[in-house]
Parts: sequence; C-alpha cells; structure tokens
Amino acid sequence: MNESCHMLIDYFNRTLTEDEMRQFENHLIECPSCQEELIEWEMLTEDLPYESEAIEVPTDLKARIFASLPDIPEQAKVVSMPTKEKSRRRMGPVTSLLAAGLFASLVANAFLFSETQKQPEIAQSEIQLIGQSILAPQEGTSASAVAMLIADGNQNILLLDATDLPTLSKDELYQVWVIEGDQPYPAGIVQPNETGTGTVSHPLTDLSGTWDTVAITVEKEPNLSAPEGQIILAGGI
Amino acid sequence: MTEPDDVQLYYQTVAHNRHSFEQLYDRYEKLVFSFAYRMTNNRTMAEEVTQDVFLKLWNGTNHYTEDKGKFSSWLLTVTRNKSIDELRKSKRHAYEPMLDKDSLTEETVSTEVTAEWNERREVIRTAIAELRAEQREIIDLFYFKGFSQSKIAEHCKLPLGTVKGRIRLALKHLKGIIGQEGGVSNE
Repeated sequence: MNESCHMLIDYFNRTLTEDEMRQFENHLIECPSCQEELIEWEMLTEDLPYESEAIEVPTDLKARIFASLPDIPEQAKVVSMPTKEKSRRRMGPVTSLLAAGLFASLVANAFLFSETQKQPEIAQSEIQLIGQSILAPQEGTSASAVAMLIADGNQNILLLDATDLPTLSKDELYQVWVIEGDQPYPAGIVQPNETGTGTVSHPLTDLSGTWDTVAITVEKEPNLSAPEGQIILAGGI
Repeated sequence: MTEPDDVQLYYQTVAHNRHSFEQLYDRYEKLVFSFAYRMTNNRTMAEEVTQDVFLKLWNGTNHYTEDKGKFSSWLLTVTRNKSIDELRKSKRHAYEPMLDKDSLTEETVSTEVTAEWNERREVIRTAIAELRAEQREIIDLFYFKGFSQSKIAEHCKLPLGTVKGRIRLALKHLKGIIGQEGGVSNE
C-alpha cells in the first residue's frame, strides 16, 4: 500500500481535485489492491440507493426533459446503430490493462505480419494507439471484442479481436463496421476459429477520421453498403 | 411479448430512439429522482440531477458498458456522483442542518413504484435500524452526504487513519444483516 491507496475513499466520493483525480486514476491502473477495493466499495454500497423514500416526481419534469432533447432527424437506417460519442470512452482500469496487453500483442502481430509480407521500413515506435474500446455485446450473446484504432505512419488501422462469437450458419459472416456520423462503412470480415475467436486488421483509408463507433453484425453478404443483419457487438471508440 | 431489457433500451437510447428512451425514463424516473432527493435533500437540485442524468444518457455522455455491472446500479452511481457535484457546487452540504424530510416527502402509493424497490427498501431500512447509531451516522456522512475522509474524521472525532476502517466495518455489518434477512437480490 502506498500513499495514493489512502485516496480511494475521497476518489469514491469525488472530493479530490482534478489533479488528484488524475493522479489516483493513474495509480489505480497499476494497483490491483485498489482495483479490488473499489469493486468492494461499490458492492458494499449497491443497496443503499434503494433506502430512499419514494417521492412524487414533479408532473412536468418529464415534459421539460423531453422538450430539451436536441432535435435529431430520424434516419432511415436499416438497423439501429449506436451513435458516435463526443469523447473517447474511458475504460475501467482492469479493462485498460487487458486492452493494453492486447494492444501490445496485436501491434506485435501486425508488425510480424508486415515483416513477413514485405520489407517494411516501419519502426514499432511509429505505431501509436489512438483509441480503444471494449465492444458491448447485444442481447442474447456472450461475445466480446476489443477494438483499437492505431496510427501506423500516415495510415490509420482498425485492429479488432473478438472472442466467444456464436457459430454461424454456412451462408452467414461476421461483418465489422465503423460508423462516421450516421454513415456506416464495412471494415473487414471476422473469420472466427472453432473456439469463436477471430482478429481483423483493416486500414481505414476511405474515412475522414471523424468516425468513432465500431460494430459487428451478422450478414449474408460481405461489404454491403449498410448493415442489414443483427448487431452482435457495438461500442464507441 | 417480453419487455426489452435495460441494456437493450440503453443502446437504442444512445442511437436516439425516443421510444426506447421514454421506456427507460419511465422505468427509472422515480428511483433516480427519489435517490437524488435523498442525496441533496432539495427538490430543485433533485430535478436538476434527474434532468442531467437523463440528458447525458440521451447524449451518450455517460457511457455504460456491461463490464460496469448492472445498468440500474450504474445509473444510480451516475445519479449519486451528480448529486455530490451539485451539493459541492452549492457549498451547503457541510454546513446546513438536515431538513425535516418528512415535511417535504410525500409517501407515494403509486403503482409505478416497483415491487422490487419497496421490498429492498424495507429490508435495507430494517437492517440500518439494527446498526449502532455511530455506524448509521458514518454511513450517512460517507455515502449520502459524500463527505471527504478528513471531514468525516472531524465530524466523528476520529483519527484520519481509522475512518476508512470504520466505514468499511459499518457497511460490512449492514451487508451482513441484509444478507441474513435475505430479502435483497441484485438480479
């Protein structure tokens, strides 16, 4: 236990300054004991909100909230996709560590892959992680995936590693999408092995760089102009 | 037909599906508002918190993923954090005496209140009543008032180093009583 461990309560209660908050979050990534303790505090307090007395909500509150929603035109989407976020998603410390490990592994694989395909001049130091995300599984699936956006020299690449993908029928495939605004772009096909694990590395040459949502759907054909099938995983990056 | 679950409604909400947002809103409005009121002891602040929590849900500012646990627990954590921020902004929480909540509270008989909430409330209140007064107080200062460690130490006249242990002990004791009464399920 070091000095930062003592800040956990004040972190939980948001009484730290912004600098202290950042300092503790950096500490949290490297301190399994604080990670466990934070989960314990959350578990110990999870019942407490239900102690609240049920009180009448002002009758016009709902109307006020709905009236203040920004007007968003309905899009004629084939399927409903998560919209882009304003900021990069903050990952929990544990998932950050997992993602960091996976990133190292994927970068190494990408590097080794390009080493064997051609004679690259790319140094590993040119590969930079821009964004990362754990994709959330949709209803009825236990699948999971980590998506990462890396800059490799002047090119952005989407790296995606999925596990526990359900077995597909013969005429189906897993299509990866990135969404820029409301416009989806196909970004590779995941070909899972017999254990449901598959990895995709896809250059994002046609995009302006403002996209920040990744999804995987089940499709009958590859690289459609828009998704038509069921979403399996989705998340902001 | 089964109703869509929270996670499904959440993803449809961040995709700006008003109908799903409304379902989610109707499901949690009362709980969020009541909890925000419990935290702030102030109707105006509770309204502001509720509005902020749901608007951020719609705008996708507060991002939920299933690795963060149950959706309802996450939503209540967001509500608590916002309530604490509002309290801090008002700079009143540490100095104002507790209001007589009974004079402001209307006990509801609405059927909108879920059976689960009623059941959990009864179990938790019974369990809290079994705690010693100082344990009740430290939970209140820590969880519902969001005091810092040093403020709790000052308030309870405890050495700073023992505050965390006392809170943990009180919460574990409470959890133990709740467990014995067996009425609270997180599923």
